[in-house]
Amino acid sequence: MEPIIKTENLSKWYNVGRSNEVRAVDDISLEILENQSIILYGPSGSGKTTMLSLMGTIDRPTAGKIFLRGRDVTQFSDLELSRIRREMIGFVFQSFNLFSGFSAWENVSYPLVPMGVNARDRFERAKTLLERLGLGDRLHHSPEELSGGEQQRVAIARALVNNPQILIADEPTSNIDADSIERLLGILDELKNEGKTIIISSHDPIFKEHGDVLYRLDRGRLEGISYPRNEGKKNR
Amino acid sequence: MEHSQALKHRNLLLAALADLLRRRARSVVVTLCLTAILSPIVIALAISEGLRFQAEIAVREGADLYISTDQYGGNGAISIAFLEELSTMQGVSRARARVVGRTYFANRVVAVVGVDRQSLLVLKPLVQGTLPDAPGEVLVGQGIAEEFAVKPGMPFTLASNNRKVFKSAGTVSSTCLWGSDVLIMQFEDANEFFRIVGDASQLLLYTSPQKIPLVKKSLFHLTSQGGTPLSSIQIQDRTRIQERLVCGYGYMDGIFVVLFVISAALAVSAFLVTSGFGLKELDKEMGVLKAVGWRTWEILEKVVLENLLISLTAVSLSILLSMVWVKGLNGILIAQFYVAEVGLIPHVEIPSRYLPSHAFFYLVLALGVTLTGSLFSTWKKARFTPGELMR
Repeated sequence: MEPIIKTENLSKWYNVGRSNEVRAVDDISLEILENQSIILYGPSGSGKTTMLSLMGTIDRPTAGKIFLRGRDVTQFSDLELSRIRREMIGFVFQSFNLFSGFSAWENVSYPLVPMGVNARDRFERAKTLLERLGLGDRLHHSPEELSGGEQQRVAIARALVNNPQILIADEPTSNIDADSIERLLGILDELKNEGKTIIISSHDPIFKEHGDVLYRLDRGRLEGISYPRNEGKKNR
Repeated sequence: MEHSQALKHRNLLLAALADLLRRRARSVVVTLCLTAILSPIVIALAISEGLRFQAEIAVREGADLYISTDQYGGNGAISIAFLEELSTMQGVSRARARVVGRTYFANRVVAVVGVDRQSLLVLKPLVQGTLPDAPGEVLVGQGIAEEFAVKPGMPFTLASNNRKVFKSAGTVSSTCLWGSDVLIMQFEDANEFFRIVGDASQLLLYTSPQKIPLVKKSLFHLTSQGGTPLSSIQIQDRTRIQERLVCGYGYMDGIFVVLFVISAALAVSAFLVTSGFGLKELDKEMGVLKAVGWRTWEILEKVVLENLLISLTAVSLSILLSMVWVKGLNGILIAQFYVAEVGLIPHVEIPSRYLPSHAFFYLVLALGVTLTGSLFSTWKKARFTPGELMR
């Protein structure tokens, strides 16, 4: 089975050749299959966010290759990468990055603006997603009027608005409370059941029991791989 | 879902509008800065266009041909003895002589115009008082009359020839700016005042439009006969005078140009600084937009549309401000930079005119300024990866 994402000797270094050189990601090769749930696990500074940015095509690697559905996207133009992000990938940022001053539905539907979707259809699409994520009564609230957990669900809805095959979430539990974490895990499981590929970075131990594959990162390097779901089944 | 290119551009326009409203404080500051840059230009062009329009009317309503002598390349006096010869020329319906000169009324430069009785009669509807009848009687322009409180019957002398005493017969109101700083008198009085008895500044010929070529041909025939008294005359027709009407920036006074350059430089700098407010936040938002699938040129289109909306607002505000200032407040404090000697509080009506082509020019100018401040930096930034922009 062809992996949906594959990296080969992927590296991202900052300040190359200087005394303060940082190897955020260093020579990582991995394969992610379609409909898998992947956890990038590791402490702060281990390179998880950088790895997500590279796989999500929002950053370019210093060395190595990234294949999306078998195509090497490393040399893709800015325009081609935009198309991939628009069609294939939904990104949930750690700090959500919602636009203040816009309502929840406007934030969710903003990726559809340059696609020529009319306002009524954009609203309907955003409403459907927000209702599904339990925010049907928060459609017209701005991010400032929402809790951390609610903001995160708005960010998830925005990531899903283009119906991407891959959902990437950076440290999704870092800015929300315990109740919201429970709800989040439920949403992620639901999305996986719908056939989406989920890639999550976290240092939260709760994710050690979730996911099909858990990649352990430390100081930019891949330190180990485990399979929480299989191990859970074995333990039972 | 409905998708189309037209919808896409409409969506981007509405998104640009929504973004401007979302960042209200920044939008207001940038718009006001741009309005400050545009307003002096709008006022300058409106006044200069008003002046040009009045000049055009004056030329249109004047004579068809103006005859004077050539003196060092300029207009020199011409003997009124030719008047009879010219009036009998084929095609000429009427010939008049006039004296036009300048002098000082107290400290103010005024135009002195000496015309014959028939020409004075034409002015009657504009006169408060009586027409000059006795020697030394003068019609005083409204601007001078108001500034120096000149009443009918009041005697005065003028610089250049203070031995001649004039008396105000009445006040002449005029829709023309230069009509307010004028002294209109009988031809003979002007002759005497400028000590050119027997001469006129110009001879005016009236004819029908179809006859102008014929009259000109006859005049050129006269001038080509060397040695005759009319061999050194200058002929100017209405078209030539119209061509010489300076328009637009040609009316700007030197002081205005200096002031404008300084204010424009300050305003453009202020604009660039204010448009840079919150740039870090904008960079981050650009990164987010790219991360959620927006293409670079879509972001650029939105930025251009934002600038277009700001420019349209600033142009509208500038025109409105100019109308209130020039038409409503008669150019108080500002007209002096455009029209010589009107003072801080003009006593005469400042002319102004607003043309659609000017509005288009202001819009292009405004867009040029705003895009200089934003498009290049946005384009430069938009080529970065979303990750770089969000860091």
